[in-house]
Amino acid sequence: MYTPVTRAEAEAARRRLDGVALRTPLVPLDVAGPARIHLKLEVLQPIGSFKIRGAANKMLQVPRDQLANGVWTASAGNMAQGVAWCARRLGVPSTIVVPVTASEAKLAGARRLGAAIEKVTLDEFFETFATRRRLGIDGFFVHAFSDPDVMAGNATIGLEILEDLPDLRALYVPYGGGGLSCGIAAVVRALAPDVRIIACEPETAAPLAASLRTGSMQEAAFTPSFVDGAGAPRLYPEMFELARVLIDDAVAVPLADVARAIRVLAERAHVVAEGAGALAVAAAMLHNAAEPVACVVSGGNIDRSLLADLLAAPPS
Amino acid sequence: MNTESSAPVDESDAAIAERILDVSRRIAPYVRRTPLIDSPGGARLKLESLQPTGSFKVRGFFAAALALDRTRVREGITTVSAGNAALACAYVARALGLACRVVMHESAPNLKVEGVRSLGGEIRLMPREQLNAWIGERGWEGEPGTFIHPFADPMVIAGHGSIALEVVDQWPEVRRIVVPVGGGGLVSGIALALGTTRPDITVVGVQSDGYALWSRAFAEGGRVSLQPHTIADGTTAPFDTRMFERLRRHVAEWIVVPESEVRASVARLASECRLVVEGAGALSYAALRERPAQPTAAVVSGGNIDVERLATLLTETRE
Repeated sequence: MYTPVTRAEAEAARRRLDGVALRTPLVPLDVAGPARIHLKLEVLQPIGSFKIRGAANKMLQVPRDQLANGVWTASAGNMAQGVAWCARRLGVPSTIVVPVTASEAKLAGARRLGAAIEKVTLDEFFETFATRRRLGIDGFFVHAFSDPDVMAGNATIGLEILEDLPDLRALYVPYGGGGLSCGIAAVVRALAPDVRIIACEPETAAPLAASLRTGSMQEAAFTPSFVDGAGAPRLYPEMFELARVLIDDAVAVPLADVARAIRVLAERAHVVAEGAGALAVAAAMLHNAAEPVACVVSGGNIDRSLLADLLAAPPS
Repeated sequence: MNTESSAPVDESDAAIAERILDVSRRIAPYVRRTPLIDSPGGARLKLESLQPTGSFKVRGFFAAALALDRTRVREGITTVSAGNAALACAYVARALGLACRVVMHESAPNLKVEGVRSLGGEIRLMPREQLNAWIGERGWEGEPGTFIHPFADPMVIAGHGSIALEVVDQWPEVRRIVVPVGGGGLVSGIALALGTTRPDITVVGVQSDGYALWSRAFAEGGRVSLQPHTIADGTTAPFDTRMFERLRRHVAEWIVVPESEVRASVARLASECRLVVEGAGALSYAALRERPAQPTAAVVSGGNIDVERLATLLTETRE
């Protein structure tokens, strides 16, 4: 079976990330229900999301002379901060191409880290994922998800979870571009083939759920929501080819459940999660077998006023 | 009924300091080695808000409960608390198969009261004044179960000292540790753990100006009584003579932060560091308004805040 990340590559990534990214804790979540849910708290990373792992694993392998003109990425969200953070650490400039719709919480983070922001239309934005080019930018390009080194960085999350919870039975991961799910799934498949891997999308943007159900790439209705870091208008063909082999199932999670999970994480786990970060938790709270389950709480970069609204609302 | 605590309450500082390493090993299987993470301001944060029950208190209560004679704990364990010690007591009792009874302030946050109930703890609520009098008269002597003092018990203090051992292991270069202070058990444990091993590290105590009990007590040379006006409900313990002496000896530096800064820091920890932290937990972060000149760790002591209150703080202190 083709795998985007071998065990050896994931372990090499882990050594590379030592002292750069945090080895995040895996903590139990005390909620009613049969499953014993554990949270992988990527929100505690220096940039508030797992993206630091992929960005660093990529950029730390690039020869210095190729970084002379800086680095750039196309990202509506957390990869912008991942690349900007690593660029600052390496002392090179960074540019982030963002769609005009990008969340201000995430852009502010990248700006604070010294990145230049270039706003483009949504169509131009998606074009860069395919062409990996942008007129007027000549730095080194880091793809937000479709890159073996980025996925190997993400795969280190899988290694850490299995180390902390060897009797893991099911793993819930948010799905946006697919780099997190596929990276983690590649090593978990290899090391613990019986673990079920479930990709999670918001109900309002769930092309993977539709595509895995029918066995071929499907388009799905897309409504933008507060879950801005997961769920995409369309799948990337090369990522779907990986996902269909590596991922057991995909679930479309109602937004109300995600909102409730954000609240549960604040009350019980004492962390702030963004919509995408709470997605896997919302799905795992419906897991109906009495067995150890883990969810990747992928990030916590959420607009302050949105967080206030979600926490102030009475639980429905 | 057992009127003694798990160790003599007047035990010397040296005796407490001596046992911190052993106690840390003993409680390790029950508590979390919490992460020490970077913060945007340069200080590192010791996340005790990630402990079971959401505060550092489990360290001290496991230390005290594990030290008790099994025959002495048949009637269970008991404590008095504004909240987090009660939660820890109930959690520890459940983990060790003991009964738990706690006396709490009537004004304790609902989250904490409900938390104790859901852990199987039995609760008696008292108005604040009556509760302070009850503590003064050693009211627990009339109750069944072994009383664990929430901040003055030497084993509790030793258990809290384990935090300091972790911090210096995680970051040997650390030169200052900033700690929120209520009854003083946490800061005493940390100071005693460092006193012999790392005297080069300065221990800084922090209180809100809405309840600056210890600074006032030092200024006046003894007992003071204040009405709390702070969201840091975990730091509103009454004056205690033993702790007064202990804090005077061990806390090198004090910072009193404006209450408005405490409120703003709860919101900043949520938006800048993705952490849900209660008022007491945010005190040490509030004390770090400028980039520290020396490697500084701040203890984020707890995260038990009603989320509606967090929502209010996020809204009222928009930057």
